[in-house]
Amino acid sequence: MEDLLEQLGLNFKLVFIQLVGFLILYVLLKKFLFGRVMEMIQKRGDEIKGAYEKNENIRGEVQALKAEYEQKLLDARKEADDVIQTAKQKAERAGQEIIEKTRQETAQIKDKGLAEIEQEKKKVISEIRGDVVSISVEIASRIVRKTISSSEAEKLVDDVIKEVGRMKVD
Amino acid sequence: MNPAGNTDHAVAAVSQALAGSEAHGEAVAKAAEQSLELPSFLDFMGLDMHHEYFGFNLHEWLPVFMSCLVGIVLVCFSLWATRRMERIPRGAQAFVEIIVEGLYDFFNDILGKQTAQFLPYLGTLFLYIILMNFWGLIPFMHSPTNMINTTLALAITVFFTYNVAGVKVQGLKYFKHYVDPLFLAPLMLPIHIIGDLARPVSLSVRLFGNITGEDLTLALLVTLTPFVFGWIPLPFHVIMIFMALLFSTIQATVFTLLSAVYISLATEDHEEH
Repeated sequence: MEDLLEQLGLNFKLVFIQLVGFLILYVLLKKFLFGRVMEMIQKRGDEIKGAYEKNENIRGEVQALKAEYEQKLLDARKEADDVIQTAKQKAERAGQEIIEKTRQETAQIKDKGLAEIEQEKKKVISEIRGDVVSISVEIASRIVRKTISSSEAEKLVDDVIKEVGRMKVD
Repeated sequence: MNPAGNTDHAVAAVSQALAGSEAHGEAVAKAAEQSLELPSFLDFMGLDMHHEYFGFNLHEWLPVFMSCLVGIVLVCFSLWATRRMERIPRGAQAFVEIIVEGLYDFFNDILGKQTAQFLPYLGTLFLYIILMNFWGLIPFMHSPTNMINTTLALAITVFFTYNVAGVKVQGLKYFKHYVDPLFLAPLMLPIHIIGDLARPVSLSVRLFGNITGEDLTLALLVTLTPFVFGWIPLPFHVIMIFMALLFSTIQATVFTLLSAVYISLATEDHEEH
């Protein structure tokens, strides 16, 4: 057994030296290689996670804002529609009113005109009547004043009638 | 300590050719007497390899030097790569991040939630072993892992790590697995203890054996390099270098994988089975 160990070159002092060497290496690498790298990886991971979360939050906010704006847009459109509708109705009503008014006025004017014409007509007729009366009176007085032949009388009547006719034409 | 004595003269010849000088050639030849291995930089420094410093000769110190070099390279590279950690990694930082994350993912399959806790240890183990295995492929360097002392030291740390982790997680309940079927306790206790002790032994001997074999094969192939017309070398050992790269990676992976499995077995609750 001893021989075999010697053949292998086993020496526990050297084993111990190598062991200590390895432990020193372990401490150094733990501090300077694995510690630093793992710390960095951890940090980066946290950062990425943070960035993602931030992104998610921002996205949520954006979504909310978008919905809000869409709602606003919808409201505005509705309002505009309402306004237009109201304006249209108002305009229609106003137009209708104007038409109605115009029609009424026209009718009034027409009625007035008709009334005036009627009045005028009545006036004229009464005037004519007055004239006829006065002419008749004059004819009667002329007949009375002068005894004239029947032919003359007829001629006279004709003249009167002619006069009356001329008056009527006028 | 002479596994391939009959090829010693061949090694010496090649070493001499590599060294290119008569004076150093002798030292190389002396070194080659020890075992079949390619010359290290120490062989060219004109030192007496058998002289003892602090109780060990230079042959015995060699793996320690090499381990130190590997460790220094690892630490210096880590310091350099992580000197300014930036949010957006590039260059060396990106490289070490890939390595660390890759190791994390690798151990995560075995250890789960405990990965972060054991990653520095297992990661150091892996990087150290794989670099030590590769180290022998650099001319005039040796793999420290071709000495049992190095691998046993690592295996002992694994032994302590998984046992301590087991006690930490499970408390005294951890020792219950030594007498698992309780009615067979007298029989199972020695078996479990032997099985437990066999783990570091198997770990260390597997790694040591593989790397030693790989280095031996490489050295042998180098000594057998044919010279066309007596002066143009045909380096067919290059094929073995690629094999060595493969084996080195596999052995480093196996060592750390088994360590992770031991830790995971020690820390998981046996009641759940």
